[in-house]
Amino acid sequence: MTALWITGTGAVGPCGLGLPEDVSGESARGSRLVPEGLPLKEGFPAAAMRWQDASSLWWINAARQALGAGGACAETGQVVGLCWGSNPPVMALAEQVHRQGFSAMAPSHFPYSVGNAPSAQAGILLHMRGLAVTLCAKESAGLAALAEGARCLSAGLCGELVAGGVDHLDPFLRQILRPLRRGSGVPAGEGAYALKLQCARELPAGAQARVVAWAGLSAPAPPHLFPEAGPVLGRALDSLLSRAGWEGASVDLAALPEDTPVLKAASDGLRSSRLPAAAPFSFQRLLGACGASWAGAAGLVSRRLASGSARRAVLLALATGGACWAVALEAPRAQ
Amino acid sequence: MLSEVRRCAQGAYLDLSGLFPADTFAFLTLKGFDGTDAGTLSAFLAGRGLSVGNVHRVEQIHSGTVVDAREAPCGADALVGRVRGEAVRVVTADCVPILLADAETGAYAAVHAGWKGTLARIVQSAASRMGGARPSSLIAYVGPAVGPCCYTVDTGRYALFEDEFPGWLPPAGDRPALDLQALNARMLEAWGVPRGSIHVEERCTACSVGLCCSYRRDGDGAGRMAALIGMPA
Repeated sequence: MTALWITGTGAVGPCGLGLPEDVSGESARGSRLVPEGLPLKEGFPAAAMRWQDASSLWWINAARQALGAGGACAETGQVVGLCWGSNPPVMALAEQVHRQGFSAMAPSHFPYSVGNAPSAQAGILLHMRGLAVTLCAKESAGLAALAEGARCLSAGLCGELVAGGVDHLDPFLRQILRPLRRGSGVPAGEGAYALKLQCARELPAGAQARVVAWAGLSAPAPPHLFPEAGPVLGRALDSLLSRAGWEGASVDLAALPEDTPVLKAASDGLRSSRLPAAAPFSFQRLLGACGASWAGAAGLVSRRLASGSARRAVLLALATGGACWAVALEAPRAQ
Repeated sequence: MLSEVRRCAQGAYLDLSGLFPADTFAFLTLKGFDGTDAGTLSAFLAGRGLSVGNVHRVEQIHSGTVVDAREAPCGADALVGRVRGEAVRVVTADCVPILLADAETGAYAAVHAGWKGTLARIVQSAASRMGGARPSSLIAYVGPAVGPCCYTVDTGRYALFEDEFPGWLPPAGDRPALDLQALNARMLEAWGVPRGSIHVEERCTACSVGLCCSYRRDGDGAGRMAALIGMPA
């Protein structure tokens, strides 16, 4: 029977190129922003790089890292999750929020981001000719992309793909978000994080984790607000554990949303009541609160699973508007 | 929401049946699955164990016209069915496919809402034709369509929508764009359908290469996705 595996990771984030080894302790290094001077354009035709928007540039590089030395095959697909990007609809939204606050948003105001640019550009430059799906999944973008990628692989739409997220905070957006983030204590994040997913019967080379199960559900909520977190996260966890065939007590690592104090309280409650053996994985303090960072979290969790420091992990992300995504990962040799 | 992609011999599809009342089935076929072909669709339904005698369809004309399934084939953009053992179907490639079911009356409908249909409030017309006493018993699925990331329009068309839906659109700026999914979902909500019964598939067809059909992206070679809903015999 085939299984889904994470066999590569890539990042253009607060830690520069690549992911840090761990998020425990005070390993956050200085700026939360993508550092200046990263060699993001090396190895590509200058003409193709000239007009790249930041989101595309970051995604191309994160995907390139995730693919590794072997690169892509003709059928390699992509699923990219987006939240913030510096495009006209997002900027129009930001202006509206700046003037009237988040409650002024009409349902059609919430941003789509930079369209299909990141996956389209990565498809051309990295020779990925397969499926190319871009999702606007807001605060859960990276995990939504991972779950959607797993769905596409399990449906047989391609044999391997790169899934992840990308966010770009324009200085104007950063200014608008600053007071909100200050209140939560979690910094706003940006960058691109990518995971290579493969479908294989046997343990593939470089396997860092097995994607055991995934789940997605919606709870009604206004587009600019989180739903009541406890019940939604609980339902998503139920669905995930049921699909994985796991007991809550068997999970030893849990990445749950901490974007706001309310979400953090709900996550803490869920962990203590349903996942008693799970250590918290507070990646948002390092990578920042943005949709893309969930793919970074999945990458970091995969490394822990590969190293043997954890055996079973769950990730649950919640987005404004009510979408909730959950993914269960297991150490590659756990079976 | 993002429905789970499934695959069968005919191609990839979304199974939406779980969103609707227990005896209603609903599917959306994806790129590569020729949902316009009656034989392919019949084989697909038979493969799911569904006994369906007739899949009604219309010649879609980008209008606000709603017809009863038994009036098809004819020129229209929404069909309302009420008979067991039958289904209704629309096809789209960037326009919004909308499926409706009334948990009380058992009526079901498929709506093709392009920009003209949206402007004509075709989804509200279809909902009102379903015969339920209460809009609160309606369940709606608003399918994948071209999103505001990819659906820029000229200022004239944008002005038409501003006039019809005052306050519902974001500021046009220098890049007027329309979000037809959001507009149709909001129309249903305004009609009285509970927010929790309106399921919006958050996919942009133009941003889903290899998964969704997009006329804006692929032109004449786009293909079509079929959205169908019905009740088995």
